[in-house]
Amino acid sequence: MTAPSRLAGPPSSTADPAPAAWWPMAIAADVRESAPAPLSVRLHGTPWALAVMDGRIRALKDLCPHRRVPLSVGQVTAGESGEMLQCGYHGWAFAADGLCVAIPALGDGRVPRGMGGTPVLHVVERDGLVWASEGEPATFDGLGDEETTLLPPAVVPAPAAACRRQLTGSPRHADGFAPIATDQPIRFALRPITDVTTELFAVVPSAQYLPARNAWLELLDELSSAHP
Amino acid sequence: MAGAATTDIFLDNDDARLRRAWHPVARSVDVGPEPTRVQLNGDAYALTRLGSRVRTGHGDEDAEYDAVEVQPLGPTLTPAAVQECYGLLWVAQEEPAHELPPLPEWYDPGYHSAVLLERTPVSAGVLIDNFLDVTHFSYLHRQSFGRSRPVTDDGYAIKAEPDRVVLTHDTVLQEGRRDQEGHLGQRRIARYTYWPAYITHLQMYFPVDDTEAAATLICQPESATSTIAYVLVLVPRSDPGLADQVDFSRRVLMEDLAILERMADPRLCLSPRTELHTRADRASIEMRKLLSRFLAAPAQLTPDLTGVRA
Repeated sequence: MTAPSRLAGPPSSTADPAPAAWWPMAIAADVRESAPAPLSVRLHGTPWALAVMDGRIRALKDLCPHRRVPLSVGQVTAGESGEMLQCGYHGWAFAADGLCVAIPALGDGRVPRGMGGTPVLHVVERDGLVWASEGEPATFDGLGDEETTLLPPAVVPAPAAACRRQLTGSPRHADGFAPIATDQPIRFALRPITDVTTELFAVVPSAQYLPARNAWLELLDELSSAHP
Repeated sequence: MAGAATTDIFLDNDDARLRRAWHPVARSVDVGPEPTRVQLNGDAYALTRLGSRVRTGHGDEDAEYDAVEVQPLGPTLTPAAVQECYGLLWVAQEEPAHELPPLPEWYDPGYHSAVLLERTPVSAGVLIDNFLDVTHFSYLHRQSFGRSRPVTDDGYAIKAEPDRVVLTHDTVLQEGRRDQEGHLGQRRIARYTYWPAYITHLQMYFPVDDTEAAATLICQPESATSTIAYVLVLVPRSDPGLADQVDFSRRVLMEDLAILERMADPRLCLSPRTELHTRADRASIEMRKLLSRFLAAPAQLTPDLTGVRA
Protein backbone atom coordinates (compact mmCIF):
# COMPACT_ATOMS: atom_id res chain seq x y z
CA MET A 1 0.00 0.00 0.00
CA THR A 2 1.39 3.40 -0.91
CA ALA A 3 0.90 6.39 1.29
CA PRO A 4 -1.74 8.78 0.00
CA SER A 5 -0.60 12.12 -1.29
CA ARG A 6 -2.90 13.77 1.15
CA LEU A 7 -5.56 12.58 3.49
CA ALA A 8 -8.32 14.62 4.92
CA GLY A 9 -7.94 16.28 8.22
CA PRO A 10 -4.28 16.99 8.89
CA PRO A 11 -4.05 20.74 9.14
CA SER A 12 -1.07 22.68 7.85
CA SER A 13 -1.10 24.43 11.18
CA THR A 14 -3.33 24.03 14.17
CA ALA A 15 -4.72 27.54 13.74
CA ASP A 16 -5.33 27.39 10.01
CA PRO A 17 -6.75 24.12 8.71
CA ALA A 18 -5.67 23.36 5.16
CA PRO A 19 -8.42 24.75 2.93
CA ALA A 20 -7.89 22.18 0.22
CA ALA A 21 -7.92 19.07 2.39
CA TRP A 22 -10.20 16.24 1.43
CA TRP A 23 -12.60 15.43 4.22
CA PRO A 24 -14.47 12.13 4.56
CA MET A 25 -18.14 13.09 4.69
CA ALA A 26 -20.18 9.88 4.67
CA ILE A 27 -20.48 6.34 3.42
CA ALA A 28 -21.42 6.72 -0.25
CA ALA A 29 -23.98 3.90 -0.09
CA ASP A 30 -25.82 5.73 2.71
CA VAL A 31 -26.13 8.84 0.53
CA ARG A 32 -27.41 6.84 -2.43
CA GLU A 33 -29.84 4.94 -0.21
CA SER A 34 -31.21 8.20 1.13
CA ALA A 35 -31.93 9.56 -2.39
CA PRO A 36 -33.93 11.47 -3.48
CA ALA A 37 -33.69 12.92 0.02
CA PRO A 38 -30.26 14.37 0.84
CA LEU A 39 -28.14 13.42 3.82
CA SER A 40 -27.03 16.25 6.10
CA VAL A 41 -23.41 16.18 7.31
CA ARG A 42 -21.51 18.80 9.31
CA LEU A 43 -17.99 19.96 8.56
CA HIS A 44 -16.40 22.49 10.91
CA GLY A 45 -19.93 23.11 12.25
CA THR A 46 -21.39 23.95 8.86
CA PRO A 47 -24.12 21.62 7.58
CA TRP A 48 -23.83 20.26 4.04
CA ALA A 49 -26.55 18.44 2.12
CA LEU A 50 -25.14 15.42 0.29
CA ALA A 51 -27.44 14.71 -2.63
CA VAL A 52 -27.37 12.39 -5.64
CA MET A 53 -27.92 14.58 -8.71
CA ASP A 54 -27.77 13.04 -12.18
CA GLY A 55 -25.98 10.05 -10.70
CA ARG A 56 -23.22 12.00 -8.96
CA ILE A 57 -23.04 12.87 -5.31
CA ARG A 58 -22.94 16.61 -4.68
CA ALA A 59 -22.51 18.70 -1.55
CA LEU A 60 -24.57 21.90 -1.25
CA LYS A 61 -24.63 24.05 1.84
CA ASP A 62 -27.55 22.74 3.87
CA LEU A 63 -29.26 26.09 4.26
CA CYS A 64 -31.78 27.60 1.88
CA PRO A 65 -30.74 31.24 1.39
CA HIS A 66 -34.41 32.23 1.25
CA ARG A 67 -35.69 31.40 4.75
CA ARG A 68 -32.74 29.46 6.24
CA VAL A 69 -34.40 26.05 6.52
CA PRO A 70 -32.18 23.04 5.76
CA LEU A 71 -32.17 22.00 2.12
CA SER A 72 -31.86 18.43 3.36
CA VAL A 73 -35.54 18.60 4.31
CA GLY A 74 -36.28 18.83 0.58
CA GLN A 75 -35.43 16.41 -2.19
CA VAL A 76 -33.83 16.04 -5.59
CA THR A 77 -36.20 16.50 -8.52
CA ALA A 78 -35.89 16.74 -12.29
CA GLY A 79 -35.17 20.17 -13.74
CA GLU A 80 -34.85 21.50 -17.27
CA SER A 81 -31.04 21.31 -17.25
CA GLY A 82 -30.54 18.33 -14.99
CA GLU A 83 -31.58 17.29 -11.55
CA MET A 84 -31.86 19.92 -8.86
CA LEU A 85 -32.19 20.01 -5.10
CA GLN A 86 -35.54 21.52 -4.17
CA CYS A 87 -36.22 23.11 -0.79
CA GLY A 88 -39.19 21.61 1.01
CA TYR A 89 -40.48 24.97 2.24
CA HIS A 90 -41.11 27.12 -0.85
CA GLY A 91 -39.71 24.91 -3.60
CA TRP A 92 -36.67 27.06 -4.41
CA ALA A 93 -34.35 24.76 -6.37
CA PHE A 94 -30.57 24.63 -6.76
CA ALA A 95 -28.46 23.06 -9.50
CA ALA A 96 -25.39 20.91 -8.88
CA ASP A 97 -23.20 24.02 -8.98
CA GLY A 98 -25.35 25.66 -6.29
CA LEU A 99 -27.03 28.20 -8.54
CA CYS A 100 -30.69 28.95 -7.81
CA VAL A 101 -32.61 27.71 -10.86
CA ALA A 102 -36.25 27.83 -9.75
CA ILE A 103 -38.44 30.04 -7.57
CA PRO A 104 -41.95 28.66 -8.05
CA ALA A 105 -43.69 31.64 -6.43
CA LEU A 106 -42.52 33.83 -9.32
CA GLY A 107 -43.98 31.59 -12.01
CA ASP A 108 -42.42 29.01 -14.29
CA GLY A 109 -38.77 29.52 -15.07
CA ARG A 110 -38.50 32.92 -13.47
CA VAL A 111 -35.38 33.54 -11.43
CA PRO A 112 -34.24 37.15 -11.04
CA ARG A 113 -30.89 37.93 -12.64
CA GLY A 114 -28.05 37.74 -10.12
CA MET A 115 -30.12 35.76 -7.62
CA GLY A 116 -27.05 33.73 -6.67
CA GLY A 117 -27.41 30.45 -4.89
CA THR A 118 -25.85 28.34 -2.19
CA PRO A 119 -22.17 27.33 -1.75
CA VAL A 120 -20.97 23.90 -2.87
CA LEU A 121 -17.98 21.66 -2.09
CA HIS A 122 -15.78 19.70 -4.47
CA VAL A 123 -16.80 16.06 -4.12
CA VAL A 124 -15.30 12.72 -5.11
CA GLU A 125 -16.37 9.17 -4.36
CA ARG A 126 -13.55 6.86 -3.42
CA ASP A 127 -13.18 3.73 -1.30
CA GLY A 128 -16.92 3.65 -0.64
CA LEU A 129 -16.73 7.10 0.92
CA VAL A 130 -17.85 10.57 -0.11
CA TRP A 131 -14.94 13.01 0.16
CA ALA A 132 -15.31 16.76 -0.02
CA SER A 133 -12.98 19.70 -0.24
CA GLU A 134 -13.72 23.29 0.66
CA GLY A 135 -11.20 24.78 -1.77
CA GLU A 136 -9.31 23.81 -4.89
CA PRO A 137 -8.52 20.27 -3.86
CA ALA A 138 -5.14 18.54 -3.79
CA THR A 139 -4.64 15.35 -5.76
CA PHE A 140 -6.09 12.43 -3.95
CA ASP A 141 -5.06 8.79 -3.87
CA GLY A 142 -7.74 7.51 -1.59
CA LEU A 143 -7.71 5.75 1.72
CA GLY A 144 -7.99 2.07 0.92
CA ASP A 145 -7.44 -0.40 -1.85
CA GLU A 146 -8.67 -3.81 -2.92
CA GLU A 147 -6.91 -5.41 0.08
CA THR A 148 -8.60 -3.28 2.72
CA THR A 149 -12.03 -3.18 4.31
CA LEU A 150 -13.84 -0.05 5.44
CA LEU A 151 -14.96 -0.06 9.08
CA PRO A 152 -18.18 1.59 10.22
CA PRO A 153 -17.52 5.29 10.95
CA ALA A 154 -17.44 6.44 14.55
CA VAL A 155 -18.20 9.78 16.17
CA VAL A 156 -16.06 10.67 19.17
CA PRO A 157 -16.55 13.60 21.56
CA ALA A 158 -13.08 15.01 20.97
CA PRO A 159 -11.55 17.74 18.80
CA ALA A 160 -9.93 16.60 15.56
CA ALA A 161 -6.45 17.64 16.69
CA ALA A 162 -6.80 15.59 19.87
CA CYS A 163 -7.89 12.57 17.84
CA ARG A 164 -4.88 12.92 15.59
CA ARG A 165 -2.54 13.36 18.52
CA GLN A 166 -3.82 10.28 20.28
CA LEU A 167 -3.93 8.11 17.15
CA THR A 168 -0.65 9.16 15.59
CA GLY A 169 1.33 10.87 18.29
CA SER A 170 1.16 14.19 16.49
CA PRO A 171 -1.68 16.66 16.06
CA ARG A 172 -0.21 17.53 12.68
CA HIS A 173 0.49 14.03 11.47
CA ALA A 174 0.18 14.24 7.75
CA ASP A 175 -0.84 10.86 6.49
CA GLY A 176 -3.46 9.50 8.81
CA PHE A 177 -1.71 6.26 9.74
CA ALA A 178 -2.61 4.91 13.14
CA PRO A 179 0.34 3.15 14.78
CA ILE A 180 -1.38 -0.09 15.51
CA ALA A 181 0.65 -3.24 15.86
CA THR A 182 -0.57 -5.25 12.96
CA ASP A 183 1.36 -6.41 9.96
CA GLN A 184 -0.03 -3.46 8.07
CA PRO A 185 -1.15 -0.24 9.70
CA ILE A 186 -4.73 0.83 9.99
CA ARG A 187 -5.36 3.88 7.88
CA PHE A 188 -7.85 6.44 8.95
CA ALA A 189 -9.21 9.80 8.01
CA LEU A 190 -11.30 12.15 10.06
CA ARG A 191 -13.71 15.03 9.74
CA PRO A 192 -14.21 17.77 12.35
CA ILE A 193 -17.98 17.81 12.82
CA THR A 194 -17.63 20.73 15.22
CA ASP A 195 -14.77 22.08 17.32
CA VAL A 196 -15.37 19.33 19.89
CA THR A 197 -16.74 16.40 17.90
CA THR A 198 -15.02 14.33 15.23
CA GLU A 199 -16.07 11.55 12.91
CA LEU A 200 -13.47 8.91 12.13
CA PHE A 201 -13.31 6.59 9.13
CA ALA A 202 -10.82 3.73 8.97
CA VAL A 203 -9.82 0.91 6.66
CA VAL A 204 -8.13 -2.23 7.88
CA PRO A 205 -6.29 -4.95 6.00
CA SER A 206 -8.93 -7.45 4.93
CA ALA A 207 -6.61 -10.34 5.76
CA GLN A 208 -6.36 -9.17 9.38
CA TYR A 209 -9.85 -7.79 9.67
CA LEU A 210 -10.82 -9.02 13.13
CA PRO A 211 -7.66 -8.20 15.10
CA ALA A 212 -7.27 -4.89 13.31
CA ARG A 213 -10.91 -3.97 13.87
CA ASN A 214 -10.67 -4.87 17.55
CA ALA A 215 -7.52 -2.80 17.89
CA TRP A 216 -9.29 0.14 16.23
CA LEU A 217 -12.29 -0.17 18.53
CA GLU A 218 -9.98 -0.15 21.54
CA LEU A 219 -8.40 3.04 20.26
CA LEU A 220 -11.82 4.62 19.84
CA ASP A 221 -12.73 3.62 23.40
CA GLU A 222 -9.56 5.25 24.66
CA LEU A 223 -10.36 8.37 22.68
CA SER A 224 -13.88 8.60 24.08
CA SER A 225 -12.68 7.90 27.63
CA ALA A 226 -10.10 10.64 27.38
CA HIS A 227 -12.80 13.13 26.35
CA PRO A 228 -15.90 12.31 28.38
CA MET B 1 -16.24 49.24 -5.13
CA ALA B 2 -16.27 46.44 -2.68
CA GLY B 3 -19.66 45.52 -1.30
CA ALA B 4 -20.53 47.08 2.00
CA ALA B 5 -20.22 44.81 4.97
CA THR B 6 -23.59 43.64 6.23
CA THR B 7 -24.54 42.75 9.75
CA ASP B 8 -26.95 39.96 10.41
CA ILE B 9 -29.65 41.06 12.82
CA PHE B 10 -31.77 38.43 14.52
CA LEU B 11 -34.59 39.11 16.95
CA ASP B 12 -34.40 37.16 20.19
CA ASN B 13 -37.62 35.93 21.72
CA ASP B 14 -36.65 37.58 25.00
CA ASP B 15 -35.62 40.92 23.53
CA ALA B 16 -36.41 43.60 26.14
CA ARG B 17 -38.04 45.84 23.50
CA LEU B 18 -40.88 43.32 23.23
CA ARG B 19 -41.97 44.17 26.77
CA ARG B 20 -44.03 47.11 25.42
CA ALA B 21 -46.31 44.77 23.46
CA TRP B 22 -49.35 42.83 24.57
CA HIS B 23 -48.59 39.12 24.74
CA PRO B 24 -50.83 36.19 25.68
CA VAL B 25 -49.65 34.16 28.66
CA ALA B 26 -52.41 31.54 28.92
CA ARG B 27 -55.81 30.49 27.65
CA SER B 28 -58.53 31.82 29.93
CA VAL B 29 -59.89 28.33 30.37
CA ASP B 30 -56.56 27.17 31.79
CA VAL B 31 -56.43 29.76 34.60
CA GLY B 32 -58.26 28.88 37.80
CA PRO B 33 -58.02 29.55 41.54
CA GLU B 34 -54.87 27.44 41.81
CA PRO B 35 -51.75 29.39 40.74
CA THR B 36 -50.55 28.65 37.22
CA ARG B 37 -46.89 29.32 36.40
CA VAL B 38 -46.23 30.97 33.05
CA GLN B 39 -43.24 32.52 31.31
CA LEU B 40 -42.95 35.60 29.13
CA ASN B 41 -39.78 37.04 27.60
CA GLY B 42 -37.79 34.95 30.04
CA ASP B 43 -39.66 36.17 33.15
CA ALA B 44 -41.85 33.91 35.25
CA TYR B 45 -45.28 34.82 36.64
CA ALA B 46 -47.99 33.12 38.69
CA LEU B 47 -51.58 33.52 37.46
CA THR B 48 -54.33 33.12 40.02
CA ARG B 49 -58.04 33.58 39.33
CA LEU B 50 -59.72 35.29 42.27
CA GLY B 51 -62.74 33.02 42.14
CA SER B 52 -64.09 30.16 40.12
CA ARG B 53 -65.96 32.02 37.36
CA VAL B 54 -63.88 31.60 34.21
CA ARG B 55 -64.26 33.54 31.01
CA THR B 56 -64.42 30.67 28.57
CA GLY B 57 -67.11 31.74 26.15
CA HIS B 58 -67.02 33.38 22.78
CA GLY B 59 -67.35 37.15 22.49
CA ASP B 60 -69.38 38.76 25.24
CA GLU B 61 -70.55 35.48 26.71
CA ASP B 62 -69.58 35.04 30.36
CA ALA B 63 -69.90 38.74 31.06
CA GLU B 64 -69.50 37.89 34.74
CA TYR B 65 -66.12 36.36 35.44
CA ASP B 66 -63.52 36.59 38.15
CA ALA B 67 -60.36 38.60 37.66
CA VAL B 68 -56.90 37.11 37.38
CA GLU B 69 -53.98 38.28 39.47
CA VAL B 70 -50.55 38.21 37.88
CA GLN B 71 -47.70 37.95 40.37
CA PRO B 72 -44.07 38.05 39.30
CA LEU B 73 -41.92 35.14 40.42
CA GLY B 74 -38.36 36.10 41.22
CA PRO B 75 -36.86 39.52 40.51
CA THR B 76 -39.33 40.39 37.73
CA LEU B 77 -41.38 43.59 37.98
CA THR B 78 -45.14 43.47 38.20
CA PRO B 79 -46.53 43.78 34.67
CA ALA B 80 -47.77 47.21 33.64
CA ALA B 81 -51.08 45.95 32.30
CA VAL B 82 -53.21 42.81 32.23
CA GLN B 83 -56.45 41.99 30.45
CA GLU B 84 -58.54 39.01 29.44
CA CYS B 85 -59.74 38.98 25.87
CA TYR B 86 -60.23 36.60 22.92
CA GLY B 87 -60.15 33.59 25.20
CA LEU B 88 -56.66 34.51 26.39
CA LEU B 89 -55.02 36.24 29.32
CA TRP B 90 -52.81 39.08 28.06
CA VAL B 91 -49.88 40.81 29.73
CA ALA B 92 -47.89 43.91 28.81
CA GLN B 93 -44.75 43.91 30.92
CA GLU B 94 -44.24 47.64 30.32
CA GLU B 95 -46.73 50.34 29.40
CA PRO B 96 -48.17 48.95 26.15
CA ALA B 97 -47.45 50.85 22.97
CA HIS B 98 -50.79 49.86 21.40
CA GLU B 99 -54.22 48.61 22.29
CA LEU B 100 -55.13 45.05 21.39
CA PRO B 101 -56.36 44.99 17.78
CA PRO B 102 -60.02 44.31 16.98
CA LEU B 103 -60.93 40.80 15.89
CA PRO B 104 -64.51 41.36 14.71
CA GLU B 105 -65.50 37.71 14.38
CA TRP B 106 -64.77 37.21 18.07
CA TYR B 107 -67.60 39.57 19.06
CA ASP B 108 -69.93 38.38 16.31
CA PRO B 109 -72.67 36.24 17.90
CA GLY B 110 -73.01 34.55 14.54
CA TYR B 111 -69.64 32.90 15.13
CA HIS B 112 -68.31 30.36 17.56
CA SER B 113 -64.68 29.72 18.34
CA ALA B 114 -61.99 27.56 19.88
CA VAL B 115 -58.38 28.19 20.87
CA LEU B 116 -55.66 25.64 20.23
CA LEU B 117 -52.11 25.98 21.42
CA GLU B 118 -48.75 24.41 20.71
CA ARG B 119 -45.33 24.96 22.30
CA THR B 120 -42.28 25.06 20.02
CA PRO B 121 -38.61 26.12 20.04
CA VAL B 122 -39.29 28.20 16.91
CA SER B 123 -39.27 31.94 17.62
CA ALA B 124 -42.49 33.92 17.66
CA GLY B 125 -41.29 36.08 14.76
CA VAL B 126 -40.64 33.12 12.48
CA LEU B 127 -44.09 31.69 13.29
CA ILE B 128 -45.78 34.97 12.33
CA ASP B 129 -43.64 35.19 9.18
CA ASN B 130 -44.74 31.69 8.24
CA PHE B 131 -48.43 32.46 8.85
CA LEU B 132 -48.27 35.50 6.54
CA ASP B 133 -46.58 33.46 3.82
CA VAL B 134 -48.97 31.98 1.24
CA THR B 135 -46.38 30.74 -1.27
CA HIS B 136 -45.39 27.68 0.74
CA PHE B 137 -48.88 26.13 0.50
CA SER B 138 -48.05 24.03 -2.53
CA TYR B 139 -44.95 22.48 -0.93
CA LEU B 140 -45.36 22.16 2.79
CA HIS B 141 -49.17 21.93 2.77
CA ARG B 142 -49.76 20.15 -0.53
CA GLN B 143 -52.04 17.59 1.13
CA SER B 144 -53.83 19.91 3.52
CA PHE B 145 -54.55 22.70 1.05
CA GLY B 146 -54.93 20.40 -1.95
CA ARG B 147 -52.78 22.61 -4.14
CA SER B 148 -50.23 21.01 -6.47
CA ARG B 149 -49.38 23.91 -8.78
CA PRO B 150 -47.15 26.59 -7.26
CA VAL B 151 -48.94 29.40 -5.45
CA THR B 152 -47.53 32.52 -7.08
CA ASP B 153 -47.94 36.18 -6.24
CA ASP B 154 -50.83 36.46 -8.70
CA GLY B 155 -53.81 37.91 -6.86
CA TYR B 156 -51.50 39.16 -4.12
CA ALA B 157 -51.64 42.72 -2.77
CA ILE B 158 -49.93 44.37 0.19
CA LYS B 159 -50.96 47.48 2.08
CA ALA B 160 -48.53 48.77 4.70
CA GLU B 161 -50.15 51.10 7.24
CA PRO B 162 -48.55 52.81 10.22
CA ASP B 163 -49.75 50.20 12.69
CA ARG B 164 -50.46 47.15 10.54
CA VAL B 165 -49.69 45.27 7.36
CA VAL B 166 -52.58 43.94 5.29
CA LEU B 167 -52.12 41.20 2.71
CA THR B 168 -54.97 40.20 0.43
CA HIS B 169 -54.63 37.03 -1.58
CA ASP B 170 -57.09 35.60 -4.08
CA THR B 171 -56.31 32.05 -5.10
CA VAL B 172 -57.70 28.57 -5.68
CA LEU B 173 -57.26 25.78 -3.16
CA GLN B 174 -58.44 22.17 -3.12
CA GLU B 175 -57.87 22.19 -6.87
CA GLY B 176 -58.45 18.46 -7.18
CA ARG B 177 -62.04 18.64 -5.90
CA ARG B 178 -65.15 19.95 -7.62
CA ASP B 179 -67.15 22.70 -6.00
CA GLN B 180 -70.94 22.85 -5.82
CA GLU B 181 -71.07 24.20 -9.37
CA GLY B 182 -68.87 21.44 -10.70
CA HIS B 183 -65.72 23.55 -11.11
CA LEU B 184 -62.43 22.14 -9.97
CA GLY B 185 -60.94 23.87 -6.96
CA GLN B 186 -62.25 26.30 -4.42
CA ARG B 187 -61.57 30.02 -4.73
CA ARG B 188 -60.44 31.62 -1.49
CA ILE B 189 -60.13 35.35 -0.92
CA ALA B 190 -57.96 35.82 2.14
CA ARG B 191 -57.13 38.94 4.09
CA TYR B 192 -54.27 38.74 6.56
CA THR B 193 -53.73 41.61 9.00
CA TYR B 194 -50.55 41.75 11.04
CA TRP B 195 -50.01 43.92 14.16
CA PRO B 196 -46.79 44.07 16.20
CA ALA B 197 -45.54 42.27 17.97
CA TYR B 198 -47.02 38.85 17.27
CA ILE B 199 -50.66 38.97 16.19
CA THR B 200 -51.96 38.06 12.72
CA HIS B 201 -55.64 37.76 11.88
CA LEU B 202 -56.76 35.83 8.80
CA GLN B 203 -60.23 36.42 7.34
CA MET B 204 -61.34 34.08 4.57
CA TYR B 205 -64.21 34.33 2.10
CA PHE B 206 -65.22 31.49 -0.22
CA PRO B 207 -67.32 33.02 -3.04
CA VAL B 208 -68.69 29.77 -4.42
CA ASP B 209 -70.77 28.97 -1.38
CA ASP B 210 -70.70 32.49 0.08
CA THR B 211 -69.13 31.36 3.35
CA GLU B 212 -66.60 32.94 5.68
CA ALA B 213 -64.19 31.83 8.36
CA ALA B 214 -61.31 33.32 10.32
CA ALA B 215 -58.24 32.26 12.21
CA THR B 216 -55.81 34.26 14.32
CA LEU B 217 -52.25 33.34 15.17
CA ILE B 218 -50.97 34.91 18.36
CA CYS B 219 -47.59 34.02 19.81
CA GLN B 220 -46.28 34.07 23.36
CA PRO B 221 -42.49 34.43 23.40
CA GLU B 222 -41.87 32.44 26.56
CA SER B 223 -38.09 32.57 26.56
CA ALA B 224 -35.14 32.71 24.20
CA THR B 225 -35.79 29.12 23.21
CA SER B 226 -39.53 28.62 23.57
CA THR B 227 -42.76 30.00 22.09
CA ILE B 228 -46.40 29.11 22.56
CA ALA B 229 -48.48 29.49 19.41
CA TYR B 230 -52.20 30.12 19.98
CA VAL B 231 -54.58 29.72 17.06
CA LEU B 232 -58.05 31.21 17.47
CA VAL B 233 -60.32 29.29 15.13
CA LEU B 234 -63.47 31.28 14.29
CA VAL B 235 -66.27 29.66 12.33
CA PRO B 236 -69.87 30.80 11.66
CA ARG B 237 -72.37 29.03 13.89
CA SER B 238 -74.17 27.95 10.72
CA ASP B 239 -71.09 25.82 10.02
CA PRO B 240 -71.16 22.77 12.29
CA GLY B 241 -67.53 21.95 11.56
CA LEU B 242 -65.73 23.87 14.31
CA ALA B 243 -64.03 20.71 15.59
CA ASP B 244 -62.99 19.84 12.04
CA GLN B 245 -61.54 23.33 11.57
CA VAL B 246 -59.59 23.04 14.81
CA ASP B 247 -58.20 19.69 13.64
CA PHE B 248 -57.32 21.21 10.26
CA SER B 249 -55.59 24.20 11.86
CA ARG B 250 -53.60 21.92 14.13
CA ARG B 251 -52.55 19.73 11.20
CA VAL B 252 -51.39 22.77 9.22
CA LEU B 253 -49.50 24.12 12.23
CA MET B 254 -47.77 20.79 12.76
CA GLU B 255 -46.77 20.68 9.08
CA ASP B 256 -45.21 24.11 9.49
CA LEU B 257 -43.41 23.17 12.69
CA ALA B 258 -42.03 20.01 11.08
CA ILE B 259 -39.80 22.13 8.86
CA LEU B 260 -39.36 25.25 11.00
CA GLU B 261 -38.11 23.19 13.95
CA ARG B 262 -35.29 21.95 11.71
CA MET B 263 -33.86 25.49 11.42
CA ALA B 264 -30.42 25.77 13.00
CA ASP B 265 -31.29 29.30 14.15
CA PRO B 266 -35.07 29.73 14.44
CA ARG B 267 -34.97 33.46 15.22
CA LEU B 268 -36.55 36.06 12.93
CA CYS B 269 -34.00 37.78 10.73
CA LEU B 270 -34.51 41.55 10.60
CA SER B 271 -31.53 42.55 8.44
CA PRO B 272 -32.78 42.89 4.84
CA ARG B 273 -29.80 41.33 3.08
CA THR B 274 -29.15 38.27 5.22
CA GLU B 275 -31.88 36.25 3.53
CA LEU B 276 -32.92 36.40 -0.13
CA HIS B 277 -36.30 37.96 -0.88
CA THR B 278 -38.40 38.21 -4.03
CA ARG B 279 -41.52 40.18 -4.85
CA ALA B 280 -43.53 37.20 -3.57
CA ASP B 281 -42.13 37.93 -0.11
CA ARG B 282 -43.56 41.45 0.23
CA ALA B 283 -45.74 40.56 3.21
CA SER B 284 -42.72 39.14 4.97
CA ILE B 285 -40.65 42.23 4.21
CA GLU B 286 -43.34 44.69 5.31
CA MET B 287 -43.96 42.70 8.49
CA ARG B 288 -40.25 42.91 9.36
CA LYS B 289 -40.16 46.64 8.63
CA LEU B 290 -43.15 47.32 10.87
CA LEU B 291 -41.82 45.13 13.65
CA SER B 292 -38.44 46.87 13.39
CA ARG B 293 -40.15 50.27 13.70
CA PHE B 294 -42.04 49.01 16.74
CA LEU B 295 -38.80 47.84 18.32
CA ALA B 296 -37.03 51.11 17.52
CA ALA B 297 -39.72 53.34 19.01
CA PRO B 298 -38.67 55.01 22.27
CA ALA B 299 -39.85 53.29 25.38
CA GLN B 300 -42.46 55.02 27.50
CA LEU B 301 -42.14 55.52 31.21
CA THR B 302 -43.30 52.50 33.12
CA PRO B 303 -45.74 53.41 35.87
CA ASP B 304 -45.80 51.41 39.05
CA LEU B 305 -49.00 49.42 38.72
CA THR B 306 -48.38 46.89 41.42
CA GLY B 307 -51.37 44.65 41.88
CA VAL B 308 -52.99 45.35 38.53
CA ARG B 309 -55.67 42.79 37.80
CA ALA B 310 -57.36 41.70 34.65
